[in-house]
Amino acid sequence: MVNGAAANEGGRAASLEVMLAGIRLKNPVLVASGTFGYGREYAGWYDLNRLGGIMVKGTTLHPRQGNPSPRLVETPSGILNAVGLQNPGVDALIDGHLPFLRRFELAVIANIAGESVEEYAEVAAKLDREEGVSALEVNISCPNVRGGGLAFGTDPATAAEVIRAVKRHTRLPVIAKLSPNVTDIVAIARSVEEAGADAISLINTLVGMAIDIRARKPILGNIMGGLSGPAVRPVAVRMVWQVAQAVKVPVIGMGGIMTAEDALEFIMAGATAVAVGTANLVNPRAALEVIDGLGAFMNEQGIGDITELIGAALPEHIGRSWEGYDDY
Amino acid sequence: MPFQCEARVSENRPLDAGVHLLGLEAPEIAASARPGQFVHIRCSGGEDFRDPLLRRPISIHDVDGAAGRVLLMVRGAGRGTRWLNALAPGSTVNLLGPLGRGFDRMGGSGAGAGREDAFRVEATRAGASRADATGAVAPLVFVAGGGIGVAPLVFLARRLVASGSRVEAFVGARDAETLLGLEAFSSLDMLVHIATDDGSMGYHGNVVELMEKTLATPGRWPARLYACGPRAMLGRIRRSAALGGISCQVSLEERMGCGVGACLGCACRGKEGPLRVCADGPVFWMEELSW
Ligand SMILES: Cc1cc2nc3c(=O)[nH]c(=O)nc-3n(C[C@H](O)[C@H](O)[C@H](O)COP(=O)(O)OP(=O)(O)OC[C@H]3O[C@@H](n4cnc5c(N)ncnc54)[C@H](O)[C@@H]3O)c2cc1C
Ligand SMILES: Cc1cc2nc3c(=O)[nH]c(=O)nc-3n(C[C@H](O)[C@H](O)[C@H](O)COP(=O)(O)O)c2cc1C
Ligand code: FES
Repeated sequence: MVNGAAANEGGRAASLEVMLAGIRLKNPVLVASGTFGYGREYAGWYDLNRLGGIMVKGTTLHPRQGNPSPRLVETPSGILNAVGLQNPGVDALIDGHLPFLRRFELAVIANIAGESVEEYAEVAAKLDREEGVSALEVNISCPNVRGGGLAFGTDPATAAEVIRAVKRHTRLPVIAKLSPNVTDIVAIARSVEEAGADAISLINTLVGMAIDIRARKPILGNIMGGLSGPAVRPVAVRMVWQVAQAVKVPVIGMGGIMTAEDALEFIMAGATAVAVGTANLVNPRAALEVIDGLGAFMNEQGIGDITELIGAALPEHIGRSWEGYDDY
Repeated sequence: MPFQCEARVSENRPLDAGVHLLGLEAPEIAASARPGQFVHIRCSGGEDFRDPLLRRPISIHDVDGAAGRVLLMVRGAGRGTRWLNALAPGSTVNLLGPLGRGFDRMGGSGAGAGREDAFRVEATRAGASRADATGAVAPLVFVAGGGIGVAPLVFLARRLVASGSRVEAFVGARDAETLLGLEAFSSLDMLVHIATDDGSMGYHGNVVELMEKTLATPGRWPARLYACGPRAMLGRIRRSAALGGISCQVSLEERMGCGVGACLGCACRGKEGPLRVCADGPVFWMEELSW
């Protein structure tokens, strides 16, 4: 098997290549921000060149120490994390980690965050000058300190404001990463598309909490955390399906992907690419197994090109519209 | 270089108080493991990685290099560890390892090499060394463990004894029933000091208290102290080590995700910012930590 392709029965290679906001990905499998560090920790487990791309840990203008421990709690088929965007700051990303990542042939997507619109813009501007960055993924799920701690990503107007500011400071494709902690994900998606987002990724984690009943207090040092892993997958698939219908820009789907079958749900829901997150923590080779599994599925189904599967379960293909189905 | 493997369970021996000794066939891990390192174990069967989702970190208790086996000492604390302790010989478990930074042993290479000289000087000054027949220095080293914290110290003590150190163990537990590692330490031909909270065996009281009493004896000043156990115990160890100027390493526990340094889920407080217990530790020099 060669990169991004699986041998088909007739000897024809099933193509896993996709185009995402002008970036060519040799396969649609990325690793999600915050679950793969800067790639270093996993480089010993397999050849990173096999990945479609890496979304690096969320980066802010200045270093951040993150939250007090415990930062992780296991919940049924999932985890709550409250790492708190611990990162060494954008300069350290540029000097310490990008040189390492440049050695590989894969899309490097820098995930950026900030506490103000200006901070997002400044981080974007710094990365714009750097070689080896394929795109910026803007995490609009972090708290807007000036807005009273509300996440930028929960209000369509502020979400758009962040994306517009980032777009003004970079020539790179801009991916808006949406928070699922909203009533109307479609409204946010439309708003960031209008603001110029070149792609949309979703979902970030769902806000949750766990309590130690013997100590009678929340387990996480930060009290609340973000839920990820298989537990959130149905929510994520639903949101990808809704957003893919509502916008023209490509969608990157993530949330609980452990296997190729899971990834295919997102692709059929309309995702052009997918990201493997929490699964990396459990199985270091998870993303690789997803890539191999996609090739195997295509061979089994006699499909030559993965793009044939993108959106296969969207209304236009299943002959049913979503309108009228919102009474579950 | 860590490995992922399906290890066959070669033995599962229940000790007292819900603690089991598990033998796992993992030749690559057994060959490369250093004391203080751990394995990250998937605690669910079959193909399904979903529940329980996260791996569980368990210290390498001992290795049998010749047989390619890793020994674990597991306390059934919850779902994952109880699942492990119920494994029948012949079944398999998925392991990642060896992971983490182990104990920095004297005479070791790498990071420890620079400190070795400093230690020699320190040891001689403290009168903690004695010359053997060849005139080489045989340093005195203490290992101190509370409860299940004894687990990583057996492998460490074995390597220390093999490299010519005089090792004394301080083992503490709630009561005689829950004391661990006595058999293993005794087989290494070393002095074992015992303390129990209820006085049912050995010194009646805290194991650090017992160690402090030993420190007060002339000529019993260790050049190095290694400890693993509950936070309260380590806090007290820190105070006595600092007071006596003894160089000290401790092994910490924290809830883990990846176990390889990528997710930042296992942070503890370092002097210069957060440290990852899985990758920067689990063994730390006392001075690296902020308490
Ligand atoms: C580096 C390291 C080495 C360890 N070595 C040993 C050993 O040799 N023998 C042994 O018996 N135990 C050891 N532990 C503790 C062991 O990992 C926990 O007891 C175990 O993870 C509990 O899982 P559970 O499913 O049985 O319990 P649950 O309570 O069901 O666990 C739920 C979650 O909390 C986490 N958790 C609960 N308690 C702890 C804890 N004390 N430390 C870290 N995570 C915890 C679990 O990993 C899991 O994610 C070690 C821990 C660390 C960090
Ligand atoms: C430990 C951890 C750290 C994360 N850090 C970030 C981050 O820095 N920036 C970000 O946009 N998302 C972050 N995420 C969210 C993931 O990128 C992903 O959107 C989410 O976990 C859902 O996917 P999953 O279920 O496959 O993990 C983090 C998730 C986890 C579990
Ligand atoms: S457990 Fe992931 S960094 Fe330590």
